[in-house]
Amino acid sequence: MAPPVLHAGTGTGTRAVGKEVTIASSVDHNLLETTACVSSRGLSYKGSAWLRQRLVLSALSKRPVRIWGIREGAESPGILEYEASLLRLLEKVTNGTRIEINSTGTHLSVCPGSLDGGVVEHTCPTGRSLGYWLEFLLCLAPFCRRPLRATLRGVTNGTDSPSADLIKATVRPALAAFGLDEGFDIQVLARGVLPKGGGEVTFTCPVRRSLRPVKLTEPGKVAKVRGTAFGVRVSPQMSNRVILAARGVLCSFLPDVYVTSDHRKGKAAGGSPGFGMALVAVTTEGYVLGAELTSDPVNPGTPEDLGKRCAHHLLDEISRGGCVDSATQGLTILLAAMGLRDVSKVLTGPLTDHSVALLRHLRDFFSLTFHLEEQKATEDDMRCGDDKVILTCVGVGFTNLSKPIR
Amino acid sequence: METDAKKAHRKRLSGPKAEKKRQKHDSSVAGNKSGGKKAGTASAINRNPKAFAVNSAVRLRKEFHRAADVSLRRERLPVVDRAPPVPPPVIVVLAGPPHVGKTTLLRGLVRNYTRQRLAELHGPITVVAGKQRRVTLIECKNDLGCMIDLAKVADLILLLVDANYGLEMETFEFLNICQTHGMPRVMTVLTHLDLLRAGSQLKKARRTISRRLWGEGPSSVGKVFHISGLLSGEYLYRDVHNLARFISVMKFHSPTLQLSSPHLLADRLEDLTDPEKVRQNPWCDRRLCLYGYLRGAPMRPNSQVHIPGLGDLSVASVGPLPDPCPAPGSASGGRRRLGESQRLLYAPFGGQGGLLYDRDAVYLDLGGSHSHEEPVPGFDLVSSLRASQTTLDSKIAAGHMTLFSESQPFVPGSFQNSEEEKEQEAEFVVKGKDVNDLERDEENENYVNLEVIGADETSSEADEPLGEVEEAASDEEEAASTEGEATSEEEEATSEEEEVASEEEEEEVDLNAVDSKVEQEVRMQRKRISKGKDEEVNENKNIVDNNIEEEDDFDWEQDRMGDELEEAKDMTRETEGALNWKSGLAEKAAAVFSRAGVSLQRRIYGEGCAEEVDDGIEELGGMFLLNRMKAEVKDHLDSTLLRRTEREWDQEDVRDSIRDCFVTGQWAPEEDANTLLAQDGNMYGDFEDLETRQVHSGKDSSMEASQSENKEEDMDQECEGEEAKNGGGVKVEKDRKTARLERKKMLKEAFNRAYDGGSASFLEELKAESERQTELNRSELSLLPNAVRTEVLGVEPGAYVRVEFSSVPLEFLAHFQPSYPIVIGGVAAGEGQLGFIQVRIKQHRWIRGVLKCKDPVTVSLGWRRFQSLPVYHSEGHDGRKRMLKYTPPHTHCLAALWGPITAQSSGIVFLKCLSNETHAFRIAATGVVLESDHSASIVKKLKLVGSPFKIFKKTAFIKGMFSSALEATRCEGVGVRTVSGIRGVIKRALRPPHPPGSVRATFEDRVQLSDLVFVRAWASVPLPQHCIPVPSLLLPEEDRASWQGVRPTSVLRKEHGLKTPHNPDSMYKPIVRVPRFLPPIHVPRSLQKSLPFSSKPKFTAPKQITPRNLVRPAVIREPHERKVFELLHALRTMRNEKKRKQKTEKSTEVVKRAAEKGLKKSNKEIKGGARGYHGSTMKRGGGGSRGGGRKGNRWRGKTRT
Repeated sequence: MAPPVLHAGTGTGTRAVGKEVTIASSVDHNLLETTACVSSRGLSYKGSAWLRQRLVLSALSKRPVRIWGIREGAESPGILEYEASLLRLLEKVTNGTRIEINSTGTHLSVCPGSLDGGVVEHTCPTGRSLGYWLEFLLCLAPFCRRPLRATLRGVTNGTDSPSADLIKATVRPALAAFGLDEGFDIQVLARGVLPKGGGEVTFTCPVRRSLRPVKLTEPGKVAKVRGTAFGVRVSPQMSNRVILAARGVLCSFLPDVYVTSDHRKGKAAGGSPGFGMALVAVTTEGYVLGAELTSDPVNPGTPEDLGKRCAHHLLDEISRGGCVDSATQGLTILLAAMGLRDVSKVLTGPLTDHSVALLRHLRDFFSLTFHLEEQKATEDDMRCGDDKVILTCVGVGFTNLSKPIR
Repeated sequence: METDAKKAHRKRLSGPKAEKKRQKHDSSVAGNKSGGKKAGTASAINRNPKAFAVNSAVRLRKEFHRAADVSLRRERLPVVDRAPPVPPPVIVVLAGPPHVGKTTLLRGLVRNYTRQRLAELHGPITVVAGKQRRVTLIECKNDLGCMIDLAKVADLILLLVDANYGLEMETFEFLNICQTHGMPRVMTVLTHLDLLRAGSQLKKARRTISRRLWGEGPSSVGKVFHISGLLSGEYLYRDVHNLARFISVMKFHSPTLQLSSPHLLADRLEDLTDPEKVRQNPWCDRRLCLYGYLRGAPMRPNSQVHIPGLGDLSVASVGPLPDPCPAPGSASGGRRRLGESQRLLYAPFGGQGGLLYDRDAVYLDLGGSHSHEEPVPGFDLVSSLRASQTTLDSKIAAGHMTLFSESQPFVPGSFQNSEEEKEQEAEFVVKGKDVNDLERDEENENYVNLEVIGADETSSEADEPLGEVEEAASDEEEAASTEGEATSEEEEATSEEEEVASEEEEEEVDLNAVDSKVEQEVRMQRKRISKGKDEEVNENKNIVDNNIEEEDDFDWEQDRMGDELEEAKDMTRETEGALNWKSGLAEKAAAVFSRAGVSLQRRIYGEGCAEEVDDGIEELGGMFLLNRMKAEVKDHLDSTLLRRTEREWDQEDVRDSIRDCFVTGQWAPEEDANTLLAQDGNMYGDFEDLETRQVHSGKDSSMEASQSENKEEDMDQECEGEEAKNGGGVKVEKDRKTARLERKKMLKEAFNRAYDGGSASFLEELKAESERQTELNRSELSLLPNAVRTEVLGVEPGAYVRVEFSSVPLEFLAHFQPSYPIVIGGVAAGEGQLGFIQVRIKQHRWIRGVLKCKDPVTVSLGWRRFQSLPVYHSEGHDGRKRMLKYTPPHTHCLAALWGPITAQSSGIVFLKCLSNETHAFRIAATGVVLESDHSASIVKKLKLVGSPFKIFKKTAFIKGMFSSALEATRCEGVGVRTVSGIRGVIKRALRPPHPPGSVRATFEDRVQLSDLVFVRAWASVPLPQHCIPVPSLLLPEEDRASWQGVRPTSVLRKEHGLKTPHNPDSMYKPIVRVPRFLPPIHVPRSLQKSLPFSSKPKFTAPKQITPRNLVRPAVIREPHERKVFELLHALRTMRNEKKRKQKTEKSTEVVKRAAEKGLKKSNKEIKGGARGYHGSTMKRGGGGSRGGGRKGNRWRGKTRT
């Protein structure tokens, strides 16, 4: 008897390759049979941690991802409102994405489609600040078919994620290094703070076929400090008091400190009162380190205290140093990894948890390993704060497959 | 007059004399112009400047643009050079129709390069062609699949043409495939020239073939080689030698596909399937290895590949091997020629290089293949135990233990000793514990770790709803233990003899049951393994490294401690038990600390795995489960912001720690402004004012400037004084002059540099940037250690690699043919997905007929070959994609097909059939990919027609347009139009008393009941989702070319004898136009009254039809005459009535008679009557269409549609 003739590409059985497990269980059988995931093997994770990274990398690598055991046994099991909102946003910016969530919300499987972009409007729940979704879009936008024009509504200044102001100030120089600055813009149309939100941010980003490699190794020295202090539904004097306190700290290091005041009224001030400040330190080489602080919705404290603490945060960030600050580390690592097959080099401060997780995820999804070198601060007799890390990688040679040519 | 027949003098036009004269002439002209001053040579533009003056600005602009275009077209976009240090062998493909001499040429070339005559020529043959050049020769079979695969990997194609027969279709097909997939270099080789008569026939044949190939494009011919004849079945030495020389010095460029993705042409195959599995299930998927030189881009582990003819596979492991056929390199000696020993040959498929493949067996050269055999974990120990003859307790009794090589061995009876000895021993024991315990602890730790990993994975596996859980889990465990084994062995392999010995001791401590004999065996085996490992280390380096890192699960503190202790341990070994190992601990710790870079990487990548657990459940003391979920969840708030460690920034010393991060702080000496200024002052500071002859000297600080000036003056004066004293003023002056000149020169150079640098062209900038990146790549990668480099970059191209696949269909091995190329092409992220690919194609001019929409075609795209059903369409100016039923000839059109998403601007080839049987040209169309997405919208025109059934002023109810209210609701707000051109819009679907699907619409003018209303809409065409990879490697050889996949409908109909179904609605029928009678225009009387006179209807007498002279005058009768007339009239009436009655009676009689006779006659009568009626209708219709005025126009409009 002749052996049964098999069609090509019948390699989808359950198989353990290294530590990745192919998704071909009874649960996901339909997913594999019916859609586009022919050959790319899926990844499986347990737990809700770093959901954004996993979704981003899944959408970029086009590998299906399965996340299970999300808050199993917790008081409120399954995905939370902001995570569900994230999935909806992913559906909006992509074409052909299939998301399956079980009835309890503890099991999630995503089979990514192609990145589409275009005009997107999204209302974010007030559980988290807008930065959560904005950072997610930042990772995907350069690889879309059309330039992304997103309008996000929700809490613009929160405590859990960087605000739109800070992202705009710190991300732009990082994107410029990758050739993405033209057409990049973030505008805060309305400011909204916790608990009611009501802010609005527009975000536009250009698309590229491929990203060029970068060499960000000379951070230079901090030459000036700029910033914005805002107050919504509070006395206009609040922001000035914040500025004064911050200047008091920073002027002992540097005379060139200018902080503008941004006071909003009416619709542009959202639904709740609050004040805060975002500060950036610009180096002689044009790199930017940023820090921010927003008043607590329950116990706002005095503006002087906030200004001082914010300045201290900035000093912290300067102490960590590097060419990108801690909040932008992840994006820089991702874009360097998504570059052409050339060497990229980035000097950063100590790696954050987010960056560490991203590095590991990059290895899972793209088999890409960074070379990490620690640069001791004590090597030359300079007082330059913490130890630095030099990240070296060879890009995966990623090209934007969805961008059409004419 | 007789004409002078003398030949006229011919002036010299070239040569030295002419040159001299020209010079003379030029100079005289120039001299005249420049007023008698004798210039040298004057150009034409000098002589006649007017002729070169700008005549037309437009023309000048055009010329300038053209010149710029031409110069720019010569430029190539600079690319970053990512070529590996050792390039892979060049692939040379010998292609051509059957019986053209491919095998003979291949044999000749191999013989030329290696001086060997090969009996079998199967698969790729790699030979050394020069000091730096290796060549892989492969013959392309006359099979379309082979041609496509090889065209994608070839660097050079030798296109063999039988000059006696002429060009054949296959040659052109092959050239077309090459052109679409990025043109490699092509050289044409003419064979069978000896069959032609020498002289004009030969010349003619050569010329015809070359010219014909030139017609296909200059790049498709390259150089034409002639092979003049055969000598004892082989080509002449000189011909082949010339060709071989040409190949070995040629330069190549690689197409994009080749450069952008890792790929290899497999030249060796190995089946690694577990025989037990095969025994259990003979049809199980096979585990196998393919070998070859990696090309293009680096290959990372766990990457996706596509093997054309087989399908998409994921690589289980990939690793470099020692090069089986290395080029000798320039360092191998001064001689240009290759030595005999350097002429290597590697062709495992052809029975060379250790392996010989037969139809049903594989013969291995044992030396070569066993080095890559995977060790079975724990096998050594088990086998040694099995081999032992004595029992365990006797071994214990006979055994002894030594802690240090010099120390006294412990024997079972030696524990009862005197007190001193005991003390001594205690000391030893303590010392021994110091060292050995640590070692053992470490081992245990490793072991424990491994166990834990295994257990974790087992549990996680069990949680998952996957099939075959147990098997997977056991596999994992096995893998883990193998890793552990490999690691320990790796350590051994790198260690020295001493270390081996000390590990022997460990062995003794751990397994003191094993006697010395076993020890011996173990040692032997270990040595053997380490020897074998040495070779395998290279191969598995990257895996092993990973393992090492994966083992280091403990955190940084522990890691550091472990390192320190290891150092200490080494010391102990060196000094053998002395206490001085403690000396220099601090330095060693520092050294360990300085290696923190490595350890950072370990910290990051050490424990990472896809199976991450964040909601961790921890076991306390093996008894209690600690549920730390809440804390964990809080920790893992997905955010880029830091949970900051607030420092006490109010304190001065804390602030001081970042003082130098600011511009106000201290700068590094090479950047410090003061230092730099001081340096500058030394270099450029001195200058002399030329007018006042005052020398200024730059000092580092401006504070001293005034002082220094004074000093300078003093100095100057002093100098001058000295000069005067010395009397050597001239010399000093000279020195100064030269110094000044030098300074000026330097300034000028600096200016030039700045000026040129500022105006560098865009292209130059690009070039500089790509060069910079090339340099950066090289320097950065060369700094990395080899293992790290492989980890960061992947396996580099140029290496000979072994690629392992864990499950390959059995048919691949069953129908394996070494002569059929196996190409392994890397697939980038996202290219494995299926989607709609938009391509721009042009139907080939040689194909018969046209391509039909949704007819199956075989497509070659990227690395793949598959069958799909393209939908042809064209794009309008509004971006709408309209379906085309057939491809248009001679122009481009678009096609959308379902298939694997591929990079933009990759070439695509459509093939109508793969069979060799056909005589037709098989390439249907060629094109390029424009975009790919998960959906595509292609539309066709849809016209819905309805008619009004109720008309208000400008509103009408329209029926017949939609079949249901649902349809109608969908089209609310859609624009409509009547035939006569009145535009309108659908407002609302109507409710039930009206017919279903009727709508209310408003128009810009009142519509007529007789009007037709229609909607112009677009219906999206359903796109077939059909994509079958061509399974050529899974089929028996005889079926490969005849594989067809899905057949077109027309073929199926033909085979089944079915007729094309016709929709009767789509049939063309004669148009029947019912004539329309328009009522005369009726103007109401009231309106008539108010009209101006000119517009009022005039009641003039109707025109006289009968001529006036024929009109009878009215006669007025007299009373008598009237009575007469009345009487006559009555009489006439009576007579007429009588006649009529007679006539009817007669006719009824006739009918009766006919009925009696039969029906025949009466039928005829009836038919004749019908004809007459029809004719009258036609006539009346003709009259009706002649109506005038506005309504007539409208009527004509309708007839047109």
